[in-house]
Amino acid sequence: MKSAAFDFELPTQLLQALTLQSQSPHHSKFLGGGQSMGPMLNLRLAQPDQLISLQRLAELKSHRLHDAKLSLGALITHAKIEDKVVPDVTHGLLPFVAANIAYRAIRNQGTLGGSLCHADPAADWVSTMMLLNATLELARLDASGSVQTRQVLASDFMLGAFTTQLQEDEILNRITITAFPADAQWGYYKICQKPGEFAQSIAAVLQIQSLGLYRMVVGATSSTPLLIDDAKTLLNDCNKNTIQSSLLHHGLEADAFELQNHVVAVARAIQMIKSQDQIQR
Amino acid sequence: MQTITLSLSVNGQILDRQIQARTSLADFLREDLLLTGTNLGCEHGVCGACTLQIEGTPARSCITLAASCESKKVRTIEDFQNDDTMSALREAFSKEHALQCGYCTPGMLMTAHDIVNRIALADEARVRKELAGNLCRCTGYSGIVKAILSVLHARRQA
Repeated sequence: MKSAAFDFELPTQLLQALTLQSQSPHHSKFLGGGQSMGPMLNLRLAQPDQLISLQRLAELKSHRLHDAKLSLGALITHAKIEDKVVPDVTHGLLPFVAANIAYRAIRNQGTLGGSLCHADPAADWVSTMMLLNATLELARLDASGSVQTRQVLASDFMLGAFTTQLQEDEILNRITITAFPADAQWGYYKICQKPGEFAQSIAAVLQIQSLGLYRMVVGATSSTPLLIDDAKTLLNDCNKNTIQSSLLHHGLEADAFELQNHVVAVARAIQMIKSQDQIQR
Repeated sequence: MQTITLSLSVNGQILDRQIQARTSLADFLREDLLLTGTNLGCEHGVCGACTLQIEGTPARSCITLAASCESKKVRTIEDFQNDDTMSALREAFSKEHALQCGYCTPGMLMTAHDIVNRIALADEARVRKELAGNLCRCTGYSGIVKAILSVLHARRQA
């Protein structure tokens, strides 16, 4: 399996990367860690005329923690989050999620931003960033040729399977999340046939009583993950019938098998919060 | 078709080569440098046969473009002849019958090397989880897991 021919660029500045794209007369794609693009090129599902690799944009590999806001460069790898090279402000949620993405050899190369832009419905970061109400910063060139950015909420970013708000001439630059307060509790459960495979269901739950926040995300659906912002009753009740009717009520589209997977994943994610409760008591 | 000049370090040697931009790292190593220790299985990042080290950490060479390795350090299985961890693993793989056809073995060894050096306290469940990205269709994994555990164990005793 060989990829179709393409041109390859390795810019060192964001402006340079955006300019290369704007000057390309053909179909060009920005390349992150390449762990999804690589297979798609080999299988010829993607046949860009030009790849603009972002891996030399040092700024996109940086992180900043300021005023309880953690800003993550889009090119930070899963492994860096798993190993806590990036500070964990989520009581272990981000490292836990990172450690269970694919395999270590993939996590060493694959990036947070690349995963979000690829927007596989079964990808972990898509659901996780919705749970965390992350803000995504997208960069593009304005009419005068300088870099202009816009902010998009994670819950608005993904439009459908493999489809996002990101325009062809835009780069996902940074992802910003808010540090958890002391009483935040989370649960995260995914159902995979084998460790590292794409999930059949992902359930992520977050409870912050001091803020009155009770949120749930169900991922690995046929489209965008399902976000339930008023999940207080649900988080207090692990009853599978209640979960099932609530997921259907919130518009989850799934056949009987998929629905069963989602219900079980949600029940187990909620159970994780309950067991943390017990540990604290 | 765009040809690019690639400059990188392979097994400690700095190289400059002209390649097609679309060349995968695995094809570059096997076909241009004749380093055929790196095997190709699925060619889409699932089977782990092509696992090697880029900048000291394991990566899939089938889905990595050679062009992406500009100025980077790549190490293939051929470079681990005198590596202590790898020597111990080779011996353990042989002792525990951790290979039959041997096709997955270079990738298995690269992943095993990472497990032993990164997760000193790994138990059997952890070793099996870490190995999930390397497929072996002969052994049923039990010899491979035993071999890795024996090296981990010996390290902890030392």
